[in-house]
Amino acid sequence: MLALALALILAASPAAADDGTAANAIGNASAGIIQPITVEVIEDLQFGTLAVGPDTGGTMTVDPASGTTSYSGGLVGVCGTGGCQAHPAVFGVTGEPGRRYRVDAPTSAVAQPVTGNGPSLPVSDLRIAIASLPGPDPVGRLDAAGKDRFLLGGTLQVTAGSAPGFYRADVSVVVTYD
Amino acid sequence: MQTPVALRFGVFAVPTTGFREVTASGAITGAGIFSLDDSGVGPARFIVEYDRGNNGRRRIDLTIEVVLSGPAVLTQGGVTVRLSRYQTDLPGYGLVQAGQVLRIEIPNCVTRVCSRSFNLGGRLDVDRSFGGGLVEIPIPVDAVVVSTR
Repeated sequence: MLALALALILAASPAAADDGTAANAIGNASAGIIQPITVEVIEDLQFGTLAVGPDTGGTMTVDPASGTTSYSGGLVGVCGTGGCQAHPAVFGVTGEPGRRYRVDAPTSAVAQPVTGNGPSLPVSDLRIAIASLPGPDPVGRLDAAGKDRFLLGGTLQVTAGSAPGFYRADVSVVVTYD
Repeated sequence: MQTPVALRFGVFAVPTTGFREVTASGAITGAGIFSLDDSGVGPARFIVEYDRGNNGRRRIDLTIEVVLSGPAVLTQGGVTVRLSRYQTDLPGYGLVQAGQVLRIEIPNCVTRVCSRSFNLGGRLDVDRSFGGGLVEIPIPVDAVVVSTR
């Protein structure tokens, strides 16, 4: 923002102060106008295809930064090569080049059965990873083209004996200029 | 003398069409925009200054007329802005039209230089089709001394 020094100076002649003395000046109005920031889902967070034992539950974690998966308890991944591999969600951000933005996302969600009669499955430790500004804060910076991406991972908890089915959780993600 | 400043609408995002209005007292309103930061937003400050040209101390009652130019429209890339609804903190001139004469009284001037300052607010309408940037709209101001009694 530019500041402007402006004074209309009406100076009379040294000898007399006459009516009709005039002056003019040009002030300024200024504004910084930027394009809105938008976010789109490129890929959903996918926990893949899992199997859980009848007596022991477990967890599965998708790390957003590395994309690696890890399992605990009686939960195992049974995905073959059919495109059901687990991976973080990928979001694309578009806005004003060079500007920082902040991602607000919940830290937990609940997956509900879309098919079958299974129980609700908690999803915890939802975390954001932003390549442009790695770090604990969910803050990124748009590149020269006004674009960036961030990833979302988390941990799915599956109770023992959960019924087979397709489970889904909705997670609202909000992106704002920082 | 105070430091005069520009009329500052701040930094904001505009999806397509919106406006922001800054009053002479600094109140901010708007629609269709998303503000990033309201710090630094405020009205312009103008100073009308009269220099009698000598160090005489004879009392002078000054009347000065000030005219603001017509509303400005500026297109910059995919952004078109229009400045309107001038408003001041001068008594009797809360909302002024472009081209309207503002009569400013400076009574009892007994120094070489006498001045009167006022704030100027306005409304900025924005139409954005693409891009953005810093826009600056000139506000030409004319002043004339009409009475020095």
